[in-house]
Amino acid sequence: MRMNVMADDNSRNTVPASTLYRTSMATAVIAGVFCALVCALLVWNYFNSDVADPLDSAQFGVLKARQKADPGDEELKGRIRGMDLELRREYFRRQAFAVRGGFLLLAGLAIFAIAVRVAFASRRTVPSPSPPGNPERAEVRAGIFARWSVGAAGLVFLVGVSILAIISAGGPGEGFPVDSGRVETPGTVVETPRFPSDGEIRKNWPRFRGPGGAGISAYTNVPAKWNGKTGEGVLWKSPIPLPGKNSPVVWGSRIFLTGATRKKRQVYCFDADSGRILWQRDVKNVPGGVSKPPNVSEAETGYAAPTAIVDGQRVYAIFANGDLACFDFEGKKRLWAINLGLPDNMYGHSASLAMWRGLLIVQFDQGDDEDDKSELLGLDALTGQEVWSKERAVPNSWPVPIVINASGKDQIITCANPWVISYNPADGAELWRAKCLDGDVAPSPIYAGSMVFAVNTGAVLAAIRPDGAGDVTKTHIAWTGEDGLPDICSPVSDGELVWLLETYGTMTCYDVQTGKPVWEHDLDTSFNASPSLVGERVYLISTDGVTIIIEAARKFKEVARSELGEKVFASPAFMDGRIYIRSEKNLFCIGRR
Amino acid sequence: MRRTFVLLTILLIWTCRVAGAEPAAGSSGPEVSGSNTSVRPNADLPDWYELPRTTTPAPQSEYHDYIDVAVLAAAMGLAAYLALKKRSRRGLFVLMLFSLLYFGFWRGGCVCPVGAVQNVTLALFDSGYVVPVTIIAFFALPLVFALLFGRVFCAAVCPLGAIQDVVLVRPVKVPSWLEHSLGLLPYAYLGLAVLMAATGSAFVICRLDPFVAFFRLLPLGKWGQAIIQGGHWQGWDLGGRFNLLALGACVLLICAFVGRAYCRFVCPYGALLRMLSRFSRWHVTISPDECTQCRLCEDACPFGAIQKPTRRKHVSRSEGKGRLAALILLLPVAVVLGGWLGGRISPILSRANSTVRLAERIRDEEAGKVEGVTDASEAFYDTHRPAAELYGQASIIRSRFVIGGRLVGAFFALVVMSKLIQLSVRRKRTDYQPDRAVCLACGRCFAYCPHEQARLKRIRENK
Repeated sequence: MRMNVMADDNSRNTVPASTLYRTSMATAVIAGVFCALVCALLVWNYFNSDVADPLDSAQFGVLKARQKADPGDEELKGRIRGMDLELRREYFRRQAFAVRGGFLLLAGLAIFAIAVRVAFASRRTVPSPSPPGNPERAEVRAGIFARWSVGAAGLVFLVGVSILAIISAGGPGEGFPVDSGRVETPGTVVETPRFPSDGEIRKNWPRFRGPGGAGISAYTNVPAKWNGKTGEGVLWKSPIPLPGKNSPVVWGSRIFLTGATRKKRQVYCFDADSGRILWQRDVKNVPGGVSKPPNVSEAETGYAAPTAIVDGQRVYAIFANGDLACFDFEGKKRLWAINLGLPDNMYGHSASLAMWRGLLIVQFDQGDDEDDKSELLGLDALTGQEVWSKERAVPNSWPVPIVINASGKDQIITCANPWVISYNPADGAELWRAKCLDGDVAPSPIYAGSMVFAVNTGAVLAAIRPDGAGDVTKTHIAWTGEDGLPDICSPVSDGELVWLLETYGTMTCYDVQTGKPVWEHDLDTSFNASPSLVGERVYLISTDGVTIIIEAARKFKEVARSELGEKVFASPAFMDGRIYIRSEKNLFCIGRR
Repeated sequence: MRRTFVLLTILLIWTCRVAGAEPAAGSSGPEVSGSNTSVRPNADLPDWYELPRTTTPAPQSEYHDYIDVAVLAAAMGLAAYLALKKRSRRGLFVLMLFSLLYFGFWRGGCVCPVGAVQNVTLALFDSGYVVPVTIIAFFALPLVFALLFGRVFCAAVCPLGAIQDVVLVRPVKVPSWLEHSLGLLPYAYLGLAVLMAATGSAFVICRLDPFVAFFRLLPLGKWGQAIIQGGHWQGWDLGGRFNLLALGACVLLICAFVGRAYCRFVCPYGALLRMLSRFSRWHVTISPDECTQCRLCEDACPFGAIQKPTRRKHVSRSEGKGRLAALILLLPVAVVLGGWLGGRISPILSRANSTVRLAERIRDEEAGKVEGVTDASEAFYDTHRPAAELYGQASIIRSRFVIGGRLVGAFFALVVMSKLIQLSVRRKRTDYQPDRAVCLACGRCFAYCPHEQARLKRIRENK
């Protein structure tokens, strides 16, 4: 095959380049020098600037120090203001200089590149390969050189990394001190066994119904009026990926929730200021877990009814299938996870978690009272290992245990049919029990006015003195009430009065000391969320998302109503100036900007 | 010469005047920060001073991201068509300029598949980090195209490649042996970038992107957005970019003579594309027809991607087999050694993480090893968090670095040994052909082939 090159057609042939080449090269030289000048000016501007940050100026610092020593010197104040303005002007002038310089540099470079390309293109010739010489030898040599080159690069890497490793051994890799005095070495994970103080717990909303599970806000500056439909008083609203009837818990600027479906379980951490999801973690591949989904009543409880709990460093979450997981606050690590077994629970497991120091408390009631399946578990919060467990001869129940300090002892108070039982959190030993409940027990107990209040529909409201031992049914139940007994909502009390809220809207107020009903009022709507006490007001959120605020007083008086515009089944969380409400699909932050 | 000097002098004076000019009155000079100003008297400030009103830029609409993905897919489809079917270098060059303008200057160089490696990595290692589907698309689409058509993304879609290609004026041939060893760097960079992203420490690819500062010098996208939204552009944002600009200028200067130096010897995403392109279903060819071994294309590629036919005819069967066997046996040893060393340097690597740095600083301050406090340590003390908590976090991060460092070390050792093995395996080539891994599908070599000239009817072909 033979080719005839068409000289007139092919731009690759030698072109008389003299004029074009010379012009292009001259342009390129000018553009190149121009770029170099601009570069030099930019560099000068950058390094000659001693006002990279106007507030770092030494002279400015001196003046400010003088002003601190003599705050009344008006003339000095004027000088500082003047200098501040000048420094800022200079700073921005230099920035503007850099920007314009950048533009000029870019333009110069473009011209330079175009000119050089044109110049070289004008001199392009048809390639004429040189005689191949000894190709076989060249090939062998190229192979050898390439191998040696790569080998040498590998060696350089090896030596470089070895030097770094030696430096590293005595350098910054030194371990961190830990509480026990041990020093960790890289590669080992050190847990910091620190649990929050009572003061820290009081400032936050770490569990179901807040500190102590009492439903009492430490803050009284929370909003009383908002409208979820118009956005009035709503700081933000964020969708929650998976459904759940659990309530928000808050620690500092983080809000935690869980959500689940038949097959998926997740823990969420929201940013309290923006509502953004900071992290979300799947709870999956839990040791001992089964793939079979639990039998739950989706309308009543669903797959994520229990509320999570936080201790300032970790968050713990339990789900309807018995999965219990612990994550670090950053959500970067699942610290541990266990499965407690598929709960035999007719509506679905709903009891939220409680904590006492480093002990995670799980009320895991299931089956019938004769099945011997129910138990109360005390787990090491750091590892999930069982510290103690106590069998409970009670059927499946749904209340959340509380931990109280009464008669000089810490006590875990649990409710189920028919017993209210108190345990010693240190070893799980039973302290006392009172037989006063009946039916499917869901409302959680509270402790107020030196008495434990336990209640359920079809039974009674029992005020129990928590200083007994053994069966205290006949000796320590101070009084019982039979009006307005709730089947879901837990009571709330200010120590003087105790309020009950029935699912279908009847609210009943009792006197704590006498046990006499003080008033009863029909709110004409339904409730799942438990009432909360904020200062001298009680906040009630109906399933329609209407918050009714009443006075915490001996007479019923409605103070305000606010609509959220979405259905609500979870209890709210109260923090400084804010209320966090979980609706069916969203998390709302109510507060002032 | 004299005229050139006079011209230069005029240019210098003009430059100084323009660059040093004071902002015009009423312009959006940062002293009054933007156009939205409100007059709010303050006892401490003079009457004429206008306090700037805080403005919050509206979040970018999601549709922009979807448009970007669509443009990316369309551009790569077009690049594949132009490179493989149409064989048009000019078309590829025009598409490359478009990509430079769109992905570079209009979108400010972000999002790009090169950086998306880190987002995807972080999402894999941190379930709390939600990576948008558009970023996943940016990461995956060029890889899929590489598997199908070779590195068409590099050819005409990548803005980083485009800006280097534009400035390539006088390509210098990098010796083949050097090319092989420098070609290892992208794998090391990839390993390091993945480690940093996986530990949540830093997105180093973005931090060290040498071209993004150039793209943002001419923020067409911001202007466009301001025009579309009917508002005003809120001013320049050059803070902290000077070093990057200087780095970019140096890289571009090198790229004027070493074709696409960043793509070939640095780009971590290129390392991924290189691996996949090796197995591409279709790939550009130098000749549209049978290679006649005319050698005209021998030096056509400025990126050293043209492989010559093998010339050796008499090779003994045993030659090189001992070396190959030794390298294969050495491979696991090197991987273990690399992994061990990688783990050993993890304390140094972990200092890239701000939590570890802060924990070390607090530790040293508490032990009295250093004097004074830094801004970070002061801020930490203000939170009243216990130091033990910080140490715990830092320890966890360090332990991740140990594992990550081992993996990266093993990976790089594997790359080096694989390269050596590859260079020790005899391959027979009868034609001039592009190296599928290295070839950027830029189409420069097309015009050098007489068959191509004949196809374009620029020459007559006599049989």
